Amino acid sequence: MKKIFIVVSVLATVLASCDKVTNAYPSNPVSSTLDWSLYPDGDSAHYMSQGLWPTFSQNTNTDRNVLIEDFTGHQCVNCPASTANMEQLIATNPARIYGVGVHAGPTGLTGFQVTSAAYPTVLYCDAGIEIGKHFGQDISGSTFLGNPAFCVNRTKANNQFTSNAGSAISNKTNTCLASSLKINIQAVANYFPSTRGVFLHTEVDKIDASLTSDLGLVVYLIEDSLVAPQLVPTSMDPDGSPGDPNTPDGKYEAYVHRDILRGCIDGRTFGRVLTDADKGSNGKYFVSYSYRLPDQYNADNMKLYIYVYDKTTEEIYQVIEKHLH
Amino acid sequence: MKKIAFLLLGLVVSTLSMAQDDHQTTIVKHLPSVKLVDMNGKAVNTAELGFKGPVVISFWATWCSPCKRELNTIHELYPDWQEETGVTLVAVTIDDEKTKAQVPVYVDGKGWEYLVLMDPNGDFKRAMGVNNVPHTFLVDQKGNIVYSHNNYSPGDEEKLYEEIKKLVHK
Amino acid sequence: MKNWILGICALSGSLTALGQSNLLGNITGNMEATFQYLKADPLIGADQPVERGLLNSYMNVFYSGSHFKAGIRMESYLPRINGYPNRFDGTGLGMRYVGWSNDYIDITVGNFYEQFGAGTAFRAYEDRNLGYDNAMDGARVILRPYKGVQLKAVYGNQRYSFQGGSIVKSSGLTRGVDLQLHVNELFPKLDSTGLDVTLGGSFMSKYQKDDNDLYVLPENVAAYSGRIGLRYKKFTLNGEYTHKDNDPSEDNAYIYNTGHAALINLGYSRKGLGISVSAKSVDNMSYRSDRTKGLADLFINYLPAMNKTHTYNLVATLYPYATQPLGEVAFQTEVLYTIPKGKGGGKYGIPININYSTAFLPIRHTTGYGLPGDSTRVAYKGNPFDKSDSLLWQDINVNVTYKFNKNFYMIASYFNIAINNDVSKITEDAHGIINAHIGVIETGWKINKKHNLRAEVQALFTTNKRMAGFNYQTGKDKGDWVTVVLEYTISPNWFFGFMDQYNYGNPHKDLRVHYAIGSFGWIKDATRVTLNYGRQRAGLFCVGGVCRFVPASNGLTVSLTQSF
Repeated sequence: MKKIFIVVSVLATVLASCDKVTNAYPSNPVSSTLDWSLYPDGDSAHYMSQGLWPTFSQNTNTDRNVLIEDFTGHQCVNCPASTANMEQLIATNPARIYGVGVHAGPTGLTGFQVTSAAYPTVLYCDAGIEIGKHFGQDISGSTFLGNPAFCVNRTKANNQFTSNAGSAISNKTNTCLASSLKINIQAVANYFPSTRGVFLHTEVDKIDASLTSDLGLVVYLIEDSLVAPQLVPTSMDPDGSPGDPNTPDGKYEAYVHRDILRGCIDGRTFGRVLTDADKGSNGKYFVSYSYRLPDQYNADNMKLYIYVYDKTTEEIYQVIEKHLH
Repeated sequence: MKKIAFLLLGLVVSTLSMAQDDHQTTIVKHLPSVKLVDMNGKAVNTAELGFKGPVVISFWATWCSPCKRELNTIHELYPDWQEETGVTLVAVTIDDEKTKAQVPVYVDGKGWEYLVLMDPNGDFKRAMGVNNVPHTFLVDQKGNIVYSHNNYSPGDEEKLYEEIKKLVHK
Repeated sequence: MKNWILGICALSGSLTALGQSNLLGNITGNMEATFQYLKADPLIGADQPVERGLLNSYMNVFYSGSHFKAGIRMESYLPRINGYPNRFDGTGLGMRYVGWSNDYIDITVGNFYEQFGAGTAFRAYEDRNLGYDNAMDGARVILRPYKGVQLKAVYGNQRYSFQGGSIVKSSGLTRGVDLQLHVNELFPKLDSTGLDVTLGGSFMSKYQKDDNDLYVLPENVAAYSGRIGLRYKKFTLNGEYTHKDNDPSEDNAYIYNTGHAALINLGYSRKGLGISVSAKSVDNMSYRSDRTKGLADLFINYLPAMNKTHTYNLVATLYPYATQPLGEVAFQTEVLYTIPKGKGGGKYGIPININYSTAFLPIRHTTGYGLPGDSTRVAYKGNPFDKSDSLLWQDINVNVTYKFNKNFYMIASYFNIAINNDVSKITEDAHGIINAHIGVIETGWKINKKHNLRAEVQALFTTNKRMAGFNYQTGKDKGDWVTVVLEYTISPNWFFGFMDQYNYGNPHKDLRVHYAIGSFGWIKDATRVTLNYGRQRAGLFCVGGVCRFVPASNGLTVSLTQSF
């Protein structure tokens, strides 16, 4: 291990001295914790030599993005209308508003999310269940009592993290969109189909120096869309009942579930705390991940949400999206 | 703006006409009629307190320190005052449901002998034009308000007693 | 608008007519004007308003004759003073009503204030210091057809705001009836048993259009309430229970649960001793005439906080507690005992007051709810007085008054307050439970007949250790404080005061600030003029369990009050 480290460091220095320097400060040294077996074409040195390890240039983004977490369930009859409302909100500014379907209730896995013969698709995941319990149970006095409910950048209104669709989430969203950017993120994701390996390199820049609490870096694995049955009010059921297209049964067979939370690529639902060890000499934080995409997912249908939040106030300061294809 | 101006004009006109009336008919300020209950739940009409002598009406609350200082001070003097002038003190509490239960605790705990009326929604307070407590009124034998004093500082009770004596020895 | 002008003219006309016809009638009223000149003070977070000067004023004028009554209030916010709802502006009519009454009927049309029972179903009231006013605008009838029987009916829209010089009303309609029976007046025979019984019941309903696409909302939401008052010799027992139908709102995240509020109070008092024990249970009881509103806006009902209203500055303003309308179970005990004169109580008797209050989150039973396909949006079951271990509030306080002689007294008090800042949010500087110990010594010295000096020394300490009796780590928040108050009065006209709050224990050294304020007052009969100059700490300002956030300020406040 040590050897590799030394070799890589030497290589990195050599490479840096040969190439035209676009960034005056060196990025973080290559982490030895990455799983290089996921890189099909050689070792880490080869990866570096191919220019796959990014050297980040100045992040030109000045906008604060918004992550809306939609606590939902495929057997929750009231959920699709709220989700549709959120989709409308996202459509007003798709470049800056991101949605994620967290299939969980306030006690984790509730009757709205469980699978059954009629609703066999597993849409929940451990990370989502932890998040549901966190906002439903850990926070005393929470009004997250059932689905549907939404977190918007995990900001509070009326002392509550969760809000309802409609004006409540649009107000929160507009407040966030208008507020100043405190954390800036940029990232590069490399995907290798032969090994299903994902290498993610992130740079986190703390613009607002007055932030003193710990910052958590979280990476969500998101399935872009999946067709699976959803319970809906009969008035919203377009496909009738089996054998009778004219009599709605409240089961929408071809419902498109969007942006389903499938987990966190490092297994840490509440993120990894950024420490001084992650800092490059330019004061920015650099964190890299390696991850093997489970076999059941189609890489073209998968993406990552990368966000940084305040470990004390829970507020998400910035979120970005990276596709795997 | 025009509308506001009209309104103000209307007010001024009505006030002026009232002022004139005051001179012509010398309208005296009478106790307004509000239906309250005492500590025992008995209904009392404030316009018909029905006492023989002068009446002191003092607005107070369990959370108002100067009010309690005033009523505790008078409490010590009350037997003498009653003997000399026949005055009766009515302590109107504006405690609402939050602190209403503490009223009998305080009144009996301190051994007050006043008639205590409950005004939990401030109806009598509003009718008497009270901004804030303590506010003390003196009412003569005919039910006319002859003196009032906002606030309490030690010594104010002496001034009140002088006013009471004026009524009795008229 | 035209109608109002006509109303005013009619009013003034009728007043004139009444005056001239020599019918006895009364004009009473009061006014208050508060002017502020504020400057910026970045250290405490005080901004200078762009207008620099702020002015609130209002005047009430009430007429009452033998049968006829009428009243108006003019209000003016040019612009509103620091901490008042920022949507208040302009000058105009804030209230007006006319009414007629005799011995058995009382009719009011226009604005009115009213309360049914303890108010857990309905209370329309005002607190001008807070800027709180949910007056009804509509009609009210009170009938007293028989001795001991009182029937009230109300119908109207509630006041929401005051904008551009006129009132903004709720889009929802509020109506209800209330019946109260004083059984002893109906059956005088009962008096001989020594028992006194009062019974009451009310029905309230609100209507608001379903303007929400996501849910099928109930447009009419009812609340029913029953109450009983018993008195036997020196004991009293009062109880009120209110049930509310499903009322999805912004407050409860649009759940379709029913709600309840229960209040019970048991009292005993005799000369020299008073005891009161109370219990309260509240679940999903925020009841507003507009389901989309929050804060202290448009409440139809009133949920009293079950704790003592403190008066010492540090105790009253730093960690105040208001009822959690979404759910709490609370208890309170209050004892006042006076050690009698001579029997160990010295020359004057020694009053001792002990008060204990506590509040917990209720348990929400979620099993059986949120099952597949459940479209009811009923999220849990809440049972009355089913409390959890999650502490919201605790207050233990004791005070003893000792009078040394005719001219000198001393009051010593101790308060131990714990508040759950996650639920009942009062500060941004702490998480979880804040536990404060506060000691106060107050002395009063009557120098002579008219001159009087009063002084208070208050000290507050917060801890960050495990709280006694609970498994909580407490937060330090802003640390320790000391406050000194001096008051010099010359009866009956003059008042001089000085107060300094010093946050010497703030964890941030820069914020160890003195909040010093000097005040001066002149009082003559029903006129009072006061001047305050200095720093005011940001904080929650609460009256009767309703709270408003007041930002920090630094500057001059002049206020004038007059009653007539």
